[in-house]
Amino acid sequence: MMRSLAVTWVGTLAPLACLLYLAVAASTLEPLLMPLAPEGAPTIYARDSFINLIGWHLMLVFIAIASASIIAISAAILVSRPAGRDFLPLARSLANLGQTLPPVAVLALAVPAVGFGAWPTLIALFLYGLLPIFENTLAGLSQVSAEVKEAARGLGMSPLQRLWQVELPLALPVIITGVRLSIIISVGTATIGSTVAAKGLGEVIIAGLLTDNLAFVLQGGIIVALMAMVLDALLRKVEQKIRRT
Amino acid sequence: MPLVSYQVPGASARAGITFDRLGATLSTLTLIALVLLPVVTLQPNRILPGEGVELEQLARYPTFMLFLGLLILTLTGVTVVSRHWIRLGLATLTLLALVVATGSIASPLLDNRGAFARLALGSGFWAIGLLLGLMMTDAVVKMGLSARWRLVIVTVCLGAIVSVLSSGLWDHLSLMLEYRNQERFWAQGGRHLLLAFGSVLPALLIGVPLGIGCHRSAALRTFMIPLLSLLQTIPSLAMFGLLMIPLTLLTQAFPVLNELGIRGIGAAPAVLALFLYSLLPIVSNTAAGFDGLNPAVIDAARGMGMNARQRLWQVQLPLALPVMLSGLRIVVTMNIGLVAVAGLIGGGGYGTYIFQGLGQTATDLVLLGTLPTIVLAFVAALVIDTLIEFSRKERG
Amino acid sequence: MIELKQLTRVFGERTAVDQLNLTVNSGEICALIGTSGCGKSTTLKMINRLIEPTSGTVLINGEDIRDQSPELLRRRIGYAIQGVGLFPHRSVYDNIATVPRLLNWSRQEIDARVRELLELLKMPFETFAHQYPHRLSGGEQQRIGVARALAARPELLLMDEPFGALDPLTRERLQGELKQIQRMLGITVILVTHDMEEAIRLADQVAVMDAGRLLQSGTPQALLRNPREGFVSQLVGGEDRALRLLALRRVDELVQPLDQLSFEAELPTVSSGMSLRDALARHLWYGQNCLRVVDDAGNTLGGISLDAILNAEDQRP
Repeated sequence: MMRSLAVTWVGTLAPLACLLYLAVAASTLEPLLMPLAPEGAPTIYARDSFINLIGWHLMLVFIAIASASIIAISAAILVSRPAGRDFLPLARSLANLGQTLPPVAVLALAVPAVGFGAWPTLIALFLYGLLPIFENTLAGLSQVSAEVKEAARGLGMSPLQRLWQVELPLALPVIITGVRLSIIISVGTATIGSTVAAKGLGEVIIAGLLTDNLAFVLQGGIIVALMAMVLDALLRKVEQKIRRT
Repeated sequence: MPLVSYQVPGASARAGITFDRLGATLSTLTLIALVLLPVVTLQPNRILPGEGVELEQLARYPTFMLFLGLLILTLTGVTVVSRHWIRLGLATLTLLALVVATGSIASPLLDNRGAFARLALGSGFWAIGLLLGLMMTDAVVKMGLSARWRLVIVTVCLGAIVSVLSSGLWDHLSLMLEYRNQERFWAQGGRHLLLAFGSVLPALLIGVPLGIGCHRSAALRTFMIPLLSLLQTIPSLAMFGLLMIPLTLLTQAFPVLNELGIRGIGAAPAVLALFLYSLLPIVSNTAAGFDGLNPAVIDAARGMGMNARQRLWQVQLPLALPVMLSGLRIVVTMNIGLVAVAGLIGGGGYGTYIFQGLGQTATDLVLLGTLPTIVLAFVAALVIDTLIEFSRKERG
Repeated sequence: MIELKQLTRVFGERTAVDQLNLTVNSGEICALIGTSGCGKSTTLKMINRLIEPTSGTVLINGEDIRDQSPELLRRRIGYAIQGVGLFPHRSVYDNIATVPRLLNWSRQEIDARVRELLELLKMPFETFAHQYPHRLSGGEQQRIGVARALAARPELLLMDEPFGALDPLTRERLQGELKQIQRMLGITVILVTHDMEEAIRLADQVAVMDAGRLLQSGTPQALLRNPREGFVSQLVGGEDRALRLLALRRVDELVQPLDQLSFEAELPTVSSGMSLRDALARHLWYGQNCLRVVDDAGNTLGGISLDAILNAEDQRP
């Protein structure tokens, strides 16, 4: 038991340690990265601190996904109630169609609508974040077995009590999976968001691409990748914990 | 396939009149969009933001009046008519009328506004178009049409739109002006598909056997699936960047690779990244497809004297195919979107237009990259849905 | 003749089948019966080498089954299982044609065979051949499963709880059909079941297994009359044994001329092919001491008295 616990935590803690190390002490790697930078160019990205960029990146993701979660979960609850039944087929097929929509398209379309900066990125993250959460909430709610719901009715629970005490708790693990997927996709999309001038780790990679500085590309790429891994591992832990109880 | 099993509500009131709350909601939204958002905007030139054209000004043109008439008919229709094919027909006609109307008002509106002035499609156009699309989708879903019929409808609609565009009706709209500037539009499309599918074939060749391996060996599965999911979490831009580095070092060390067309930037890292991303859906869906087979069927196949190869080709693969194809659907739509990102590292395809357009703040160029990307992904998904349907036929 | 000799199978620590010896005569039905996990399915699967024995041999007509590759062996042996295992992506026709195709039969031969089998099972070719399995009822699916197992004219048919998932009425009908077909084709059947009624109704030989060992084997009558102490007598059912024995015998064994019996004018009838158990039930139902026995055409053959049935076991043939 102890050993398996240790093993599972290595998956989270090892990338986290690497991430923190890079965030605060990337300059110690300068000699290693030197050959990748063009002659005379800086080796370590210096226009902003990595801590700052990580903070911006995470903030964009969390604001977008928190609001997407609220909207998507409420919408899924609504269309799965008898009152929202008229909207269910369209909502289902929209969620299905939406999966074919590339995140970068959403991002690109948000720019003409709201201009450059953090806003188009937030909008794209929000809109694209809706889909997995909506779909998983719907799936989670519909997989609650008819007998359980029948039993809850038989015990005299009101519709609201059934929702809060029976359906949502049973659907929760699936909903959390949806949130995790949304967050991981958002971390990726927020990286591309740097092309529309949103602050985040993408700007390190893009600065590297623009100036042919592979050292920048490497730093940015590794930090974003590590961040995504840490988030993914943490959210999987949350999921496991909920599933077990 | 969540769409198929839907029970049509009010099927008993088929011939009659109903009140459809969804239709009423969509109609209200459409009216709000029509009043508040400009259908077209006049831009002084390619880059500067445009100014919305008032609705009453548009209402002077007969084609636009025709569109408005049809729109009112459709909005009433989706709210009260219970026959879905009537709704579908009305919404489709109205969408076409919108396309024709916006095209035909362009040249009179642009008269005397100077050579650089452009008429661009406004947020009203996109909102109304989207809402009409939703009405069509709802009708199609409630008619319970199979994927192949949906594919037919989408093909017909796209064909109609393309023929309107190629008839020159939209030639005065900024989007088409932008299209005329880009001689390589169709070649970019070909490249986009080539990049998107170029990684699918090797991913299938490696992923399917790996998936079968994961089905057979728990050890392989506990190693492969987390590894491939880890790859999947790496953001696309980071993955492209990280792959550029070894590829660049390789081509510096072996210049012969350069002659083969392999470079640190461009298509090579893109295809490699897409290949890596494609593995997870293919491997896990193949494994899931094989896991889901009824053990009695496999037992029967063995008991009848099929050898391992016959069981694989005649029983297991055909039965696992629908699940494997839904993995392929994920891969193909994902790849089409990711190829657009590869435009950033010089991979080509429609992403090039998107990022050029973003760089120049030229909305129409962004649209010229975005819209075809969306259409490609959408049609590819529908084609695979049709394949899934065929592979499932008759087996209940 | 099928001979299992010292057949043993060990899974890890557990001995699933322990030195089993059993001989099944050609043209007979042998039922392997026992609780789940007793090793009966493992025994069955060792006969077509779905499971390889740890030790011991299986001889089919004196030939060791290991002399042939498992695939070739299995194509010679019919195999029908619970849950049927029909291929959902293939039509009824293609399902039945599976083994003939593996054996490279000609198209005409296959076509003729499929028609013949569907006719044998009273399923019209036109209605069923091009249906897919999911459109069939459970009973129809099981019939197709049997047809598929019989397709290549095997001399031996292995069945693993073939009727387990069916409702009692359908099960009884299919059991009747199986027995009829088996008699007609003269094939050997080895059948795994946990249902004593089924074993008694179908089998010429019942082999009772427990914990991997063969406890007793013999005709149903022998088993019912002299069950071994313990598991076997528990399985054949203490109190019910008499009724089960009656179920094995037919009314025509005990017909008496009507004039020997005291009877009332309008006697209820029993048909001569009924089991004594069913006849007893009718006696009780009508509250009569005597019933009129008729043949299939309705001609009176004589009468059968309650006393005759009650004493049937003493005057057995």
